[in-house]
Amino acid sequence: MDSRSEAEFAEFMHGRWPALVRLGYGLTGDERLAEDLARAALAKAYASWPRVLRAGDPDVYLRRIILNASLGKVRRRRVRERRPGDEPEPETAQLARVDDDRPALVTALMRLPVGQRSVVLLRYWMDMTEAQVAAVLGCSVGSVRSQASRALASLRVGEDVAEEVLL
Amino acid sequence: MSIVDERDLRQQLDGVLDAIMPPDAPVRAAARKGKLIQAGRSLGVVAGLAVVAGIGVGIPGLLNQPAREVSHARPMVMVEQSCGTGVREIIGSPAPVAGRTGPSSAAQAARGRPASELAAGGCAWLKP
Repeated sequence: MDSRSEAEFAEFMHGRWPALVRLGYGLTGDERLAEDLARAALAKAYASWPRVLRAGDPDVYLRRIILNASLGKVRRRRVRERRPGDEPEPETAQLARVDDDRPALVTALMRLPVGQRSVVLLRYWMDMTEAQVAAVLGCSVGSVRSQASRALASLRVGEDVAEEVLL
Repeated sequence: MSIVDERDLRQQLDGVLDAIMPPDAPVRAAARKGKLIQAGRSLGVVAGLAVVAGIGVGIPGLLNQPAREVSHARPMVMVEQSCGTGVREIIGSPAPVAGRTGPSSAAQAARGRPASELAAGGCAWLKP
């Protein structure tokens, strides 16, 4: 990569870094993991920078890397957590703190399947259209719509269950 | 936590995620890792080319191997036949006949020979 491209990449990275980390946090619920994901995504973008630029929309490329990577990390973490003899995961309601909405929302997000979580974040946090979300996730608009609807329903139900357990 | 509708969810997500203050962008670390990825890819390409070249050289070499030597000597047929006196005579040769070196059965050996030749004298010598 020449010095001009290097400078271009550095500028791009400075601009996207916070949003990427936040997206990673929304996907994993873990700040450190989110930074790892964002760093890995940017490293991959660096490795194919000319191709990424040629493709036209580097943001779509980065989001796709983060979403795919988070899917892999979630799968690996789930496998580690389900090793025989390990303590079971604490109940989500016990993790949620009612006095602070932040962990409760993040915890509720973590209870959603990764696909629905991705749709929620892209659609409702990044304000992307259904078509844009479908392009990033590589699925149909109908699938985005149904996943969003299911996610909203789950978030509402999850909230009721959590309140019942805590009372 | 209470989620009323989509608008409410948007606001809550903004509140949660915008509160995350990531440290400075690790540009150098990302670039270093990116270069490593590039180097790995180049290495992979070189290894792939080496494998392809190896296959390109190896397979024609295997295909062009000289054929195994085949005996062109006229095969002698092995015949085992009872001559009436209880003596069994066997003539034959180890030369391969139709890829086999074992003795042929009399029936196989006699195939195509006139019956008179077989019947004459009790014993029939099947000429090569």
